[in-house]
Amino acid sequence: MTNPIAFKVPLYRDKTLYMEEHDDAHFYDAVHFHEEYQLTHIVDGRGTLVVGQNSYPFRPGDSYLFGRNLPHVFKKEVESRADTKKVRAHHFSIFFSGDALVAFLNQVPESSSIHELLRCADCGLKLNKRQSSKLLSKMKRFQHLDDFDKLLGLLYMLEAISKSTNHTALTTSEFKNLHFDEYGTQKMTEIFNFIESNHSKKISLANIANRFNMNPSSFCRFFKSRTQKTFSQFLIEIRVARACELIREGAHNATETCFESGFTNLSNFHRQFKNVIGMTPTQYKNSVSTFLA
Amino acid sequence: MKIPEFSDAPREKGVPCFEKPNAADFHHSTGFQSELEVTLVLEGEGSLFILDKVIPFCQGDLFFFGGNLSNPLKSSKIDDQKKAIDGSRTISLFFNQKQLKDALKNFPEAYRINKIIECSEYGIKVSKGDCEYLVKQIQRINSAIGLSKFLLFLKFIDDVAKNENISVLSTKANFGGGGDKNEPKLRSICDFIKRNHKETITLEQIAAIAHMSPTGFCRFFKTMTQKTFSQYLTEVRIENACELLRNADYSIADCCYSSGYNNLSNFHRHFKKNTGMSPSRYRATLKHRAVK
Repeated sequence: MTNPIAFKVPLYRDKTLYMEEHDDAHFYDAVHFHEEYQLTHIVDGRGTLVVGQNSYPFRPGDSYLFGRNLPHVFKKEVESRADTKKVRAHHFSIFFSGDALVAFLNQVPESSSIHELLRCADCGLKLNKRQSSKLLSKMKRFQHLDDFDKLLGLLYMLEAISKSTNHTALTTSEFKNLHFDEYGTQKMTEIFNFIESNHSKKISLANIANRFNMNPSSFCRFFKSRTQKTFSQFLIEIRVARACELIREGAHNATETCFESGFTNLSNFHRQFKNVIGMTPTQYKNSVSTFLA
Repeated sequence: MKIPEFSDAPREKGVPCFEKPNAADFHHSTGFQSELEVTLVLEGEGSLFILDKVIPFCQGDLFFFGGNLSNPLKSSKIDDQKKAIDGSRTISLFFNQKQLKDALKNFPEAYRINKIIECSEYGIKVSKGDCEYLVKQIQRINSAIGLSKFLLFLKFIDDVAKNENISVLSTKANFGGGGDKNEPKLRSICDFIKRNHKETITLEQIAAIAHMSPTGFCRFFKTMTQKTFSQYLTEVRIENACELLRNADYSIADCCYSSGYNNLSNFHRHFKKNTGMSPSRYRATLKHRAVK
């Protein structure tokens, strides 16, 4: 097994889950692990899935659930040149934080089957055919839901999965307590914390690279390999998340929100917000408003 | 007072809601103190006594009552004898407030529901919903089992919270949308008002308590609480008067003078403005309900 690297999901403190649709010519190709659970449905693309020490072939229509810190990677099959364009690497993934979910489930005794499922997921699970086929339409709908409905949707999915049997375990040993890439894990945590507490100010690339004793280009490479995003994309997502939080608290108008969350230019703020959330700050404000004083 | 009978639906372990069908009379149950109550009015109309307010209700209204809310007293319409006897028909869900709070505390996405729980301590009303739809939802929650029951319930609350006809009932709650309740200066001011509202409190007096000039105090109080000092004082006094009126031993004049007013007609005017009915009418409404 090649050395897995620590991966960071851009999960800001105002969210419990992060949904991603990946549609590209290639999958993310480094063996990696992260502290969030990952539920993935492969829409298109085939190749080899590496989980822990084991490898399995994967095809379109497969669904997988990976537990906390379980090293995994989807490796696309090497094809002849002519095919490359036709076969995409397309999958839906939901990343969710285990702690919040467990705190919820602890209050609801009927959910013991989900507890069991999450425990099994630490070894990695390939879901049975029936559940896999149901997952696609659910995940497609998922993208357009309100944040809270996403959360409920995830709980419904997990419940359905946990109620059915015949899921295949992918590894036998647990990887929870093994520490791969300690350097990377620690560094990414530090970087994330730094971004989280300083995003309202200007953070230049030179500045942050210098702070973590790297030169800008190696910082970029390091960062991208562990987040699948560039530093500036990541920063924008965090800022937009913060802006959402401010809007929900309701104390600020759009301009204040813009400057408070670290943007320095109103039109840029609007553009980025629309890119990430899919609606303008005002529309968002209307969609989340509570009418209680 | 007649206590409504509950269907003794066995309470499933951990399922935080069940149904109270067709209460013959419409008033708050005792014995569910730590439970948040969600009540939908199916039939009938009347008014609801809650803290310092009298709120009219009608078909399709949905109410939330927090667990610590001292029994909101409810009554059917008094001027229509027949209706009062028939009573209103309601359907209620109860659930464990603490459990819900603990379950959602790590989900920032659940901010709407958390807001509802927080405000339910003062009563929440969602007016004139689509009664049929709401009943269907409640019945669906009721017939579901296990985790999906809980999830349906959460979805229901979240949807209700998006409604724009939602409002907090008691004025007590409207204490500073933005003001910090724990601001030490404000705390001491409010404590002072609560202790001394039975006497005359002048603006100079209270400003001196806060070590401010009268103008400075007014500005401070208004920004912190979004209401003027005299408005706030009136609310505290009327609330106290309501409590006294519930006790039939006091005359209305007694209630007036012992809640800090020294002028009957002024008292009547303020009372009417705040609760929507005169003190004697308020008492009569209560009495009627008690006799039934």
